[in-house]
Amino acid sequence: MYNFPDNFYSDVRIERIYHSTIRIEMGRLEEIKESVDLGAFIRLFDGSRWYYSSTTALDSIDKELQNLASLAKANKEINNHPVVKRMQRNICKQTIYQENSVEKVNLQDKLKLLESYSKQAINDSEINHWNIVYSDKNLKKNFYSSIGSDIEFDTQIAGVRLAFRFGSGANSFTEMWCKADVCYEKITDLHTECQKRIDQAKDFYKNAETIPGGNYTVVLSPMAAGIFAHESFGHKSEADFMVGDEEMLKEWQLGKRVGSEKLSIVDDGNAFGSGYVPFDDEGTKAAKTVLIENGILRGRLHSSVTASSLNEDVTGNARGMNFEYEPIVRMTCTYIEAGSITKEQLISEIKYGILVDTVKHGSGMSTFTLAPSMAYLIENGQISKPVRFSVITGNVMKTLDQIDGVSDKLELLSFVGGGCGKMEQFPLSVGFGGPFVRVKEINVQ
Amino acid sequence: MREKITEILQQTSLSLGQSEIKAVRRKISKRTGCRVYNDYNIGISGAIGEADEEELYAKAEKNLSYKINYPVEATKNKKVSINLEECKLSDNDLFEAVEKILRKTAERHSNFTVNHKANLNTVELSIENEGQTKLFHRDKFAELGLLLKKRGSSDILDTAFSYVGRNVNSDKIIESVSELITAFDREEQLPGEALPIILHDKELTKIFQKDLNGKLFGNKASLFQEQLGMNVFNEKFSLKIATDPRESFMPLFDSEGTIPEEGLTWLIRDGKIIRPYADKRTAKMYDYENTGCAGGSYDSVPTLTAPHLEIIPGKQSLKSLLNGKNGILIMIAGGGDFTPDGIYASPVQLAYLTDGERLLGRLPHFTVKGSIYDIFGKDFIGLSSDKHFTVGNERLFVTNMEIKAL
Repeated sequence: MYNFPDNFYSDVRIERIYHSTIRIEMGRLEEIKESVDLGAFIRLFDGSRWYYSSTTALDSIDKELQNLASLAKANKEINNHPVVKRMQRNICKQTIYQENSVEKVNLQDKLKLLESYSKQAINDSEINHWNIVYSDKNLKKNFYSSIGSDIEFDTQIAGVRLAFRFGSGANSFTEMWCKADVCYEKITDLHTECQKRIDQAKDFYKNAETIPGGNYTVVLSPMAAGIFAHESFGHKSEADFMVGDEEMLKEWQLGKRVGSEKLSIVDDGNAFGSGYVPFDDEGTKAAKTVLIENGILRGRLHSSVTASSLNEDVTGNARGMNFEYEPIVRMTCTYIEAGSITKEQLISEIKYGILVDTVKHGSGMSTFTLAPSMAYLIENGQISKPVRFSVITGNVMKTLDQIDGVSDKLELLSFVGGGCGKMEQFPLSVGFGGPFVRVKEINVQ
Repeated sequence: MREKITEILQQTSLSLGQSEIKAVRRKISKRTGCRVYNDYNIGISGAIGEADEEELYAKAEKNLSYKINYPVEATKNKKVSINLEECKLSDNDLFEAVEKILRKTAERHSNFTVNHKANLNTVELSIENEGQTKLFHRDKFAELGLLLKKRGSSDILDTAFSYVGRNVNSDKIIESVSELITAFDREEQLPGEALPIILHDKELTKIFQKDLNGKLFGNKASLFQEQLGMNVFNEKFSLKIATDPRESFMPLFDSEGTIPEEGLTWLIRDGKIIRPYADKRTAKMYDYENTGCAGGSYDSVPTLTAPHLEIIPGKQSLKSLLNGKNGILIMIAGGGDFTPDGIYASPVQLAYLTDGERLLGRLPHFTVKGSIYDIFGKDFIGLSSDKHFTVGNERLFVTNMEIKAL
């Protein structure tokens, strides 16, 4: 345990990160490496300001705590401060990925696995350029605080990401297949799925037609719905942008209708995958936070600071990218909840519309965008042909209100090789997903 | 041959929230990477924090067993030392400057809050090897990212000011922030006539970062595959790899230790596509020139990485390029993308009307669209000779594009 200075709140987060990466490009091994990083992030709060330090010298943590205390003003009432009162005191050991840690899998075996996936691209003469990456991470965290928290837990992710390009010049098409899971064994036998994506992309490359811009009824796949939930609404649910803004709080009053009654969105750090965060970086236990329930605003994502400012409860969403960064309000695994009709029924009711299957990227302020990779025209209730366009875009709130159908199967997605960016902290592992979601009208460009 | 890469970052970071300094973070981070070259293979290793070099070299030698092919020589007999640490700012100076900016902005614009970060960075990067190469880069600079949010707005930010520089002129920043906010509060209608579109030069050059990649060219997968050596764009349009450390805040050398000759940094000259960009391995594999574009992290095999690109400015100021008209300055266009044939489309979340010197008002959201061949071709007007402090201290590029109200 550390010598936490008196008359301050302080905490120490220690991270041990094992990670390995293997990259093959066009059949050539480009990189293979594994390493272990060890470091700590130290916070001290005097009631008016936070002081942070990051170090890899774990034997200097007590000294760092004293250094931070020397910059701050002692506060005898610190434990009665509303921010500190919201800090949870958890004593817990929840390490579940040490026995089956990816660190125990031989690097040579990981290479063989990646080579087995890469054969699918090598054997396709129509692919002009490809690269494939295996990456994994086993993260063990210890968290200690001046109010008595003593937590140890771990998270893990392993995955494969294949990017490939057909054609050249103006007639080209790039697509990706990515699969990740919390256990190495779960990603070792997905070759059929990988091949299916390659075949689908080839068909899209050869047959996709450009469609005119305009307003269409659009069905979002679980991937597209997840990105939409994350980018368009998830970031707006991060409470740090509401703090100190009374008008904003009126606008975002809990209980207000913000979307169609078909729509429910949640964030849950307990969901296993790339958004699994059983405790956040303030030692708060993960919770399932309902953001929207049947179109009604029910909650938002908090750190102790934002929860205190808005007089609400902490939600387990204070996350730092790694031991060099302070926790800020971030999502964990954000998804749209399943509805009651089948995907087939959802599509069958559309006379003329679009299915967005895979997505290159998305963004969201009051106007959101999704840049589809593969999309399909829907005619008379049937998927008819692959179509190309740049982006779909619209006003977030109007679009939430335009959701008129949600399918009955939820799919949660995990990823390697990227993540969520906020301020300077990119990439942070998150998960997202949803069922198939139908929106009555979205602008297609 | 052994080679060592060392990166050191000393940073003081101020977290800003609701126009106050909410937190102070101090860190010194050191990263060491070791490479071993043997028989045209490369082995790598690395560590964060204080590291035992011999252990790292032993790991790198073990890594050689994977036979990662590296069919080129490590850089030899090159010695360059660049120290740009002319910044005299102390942590306290940064603190005082930022407090003043926050205080004055709050006094002038109580309906806006200032959020995000102000950092003071001292960076060091070195590459040393047994081939008598010793490359060193050191710089110290401040970074300010001020997200300006109108009270009651449903957006995370409404407008923004960003700055990277080796000094902090708080009065100048206060005036710029004030201009951004004042113009934001002055709502304008979308013009009825077609007006020139003004963008940061980096906004659309990302398609060249993607498709002038030597590996894509070598594998015949680039959008510009059939156009190498051809006059494709406006003769006023030239594009170079940005190599000046004073301007780019990046080292002069790449992660293989290459410092490209000036002539090799031109990718497009007077509208003609000259060459793709390459690192040593790509250059050798596809018979291109090495333009010094190896990147990767401290513990990676050096790999071809998209460089920072700069459009060559003309002799006209922004005002002069607008030729007596107003222009539409796009500040935030998040989520746009290119189709495979080079058509760009994006929603524009924030744009100002400008006369080339002042921001006149804020325009409603709209979408923008154009072909890369037109934007940098028949519609290309030019890159301003003058930099604009209020919009990131950047030169701005002017073209014509189709816009539509959202």
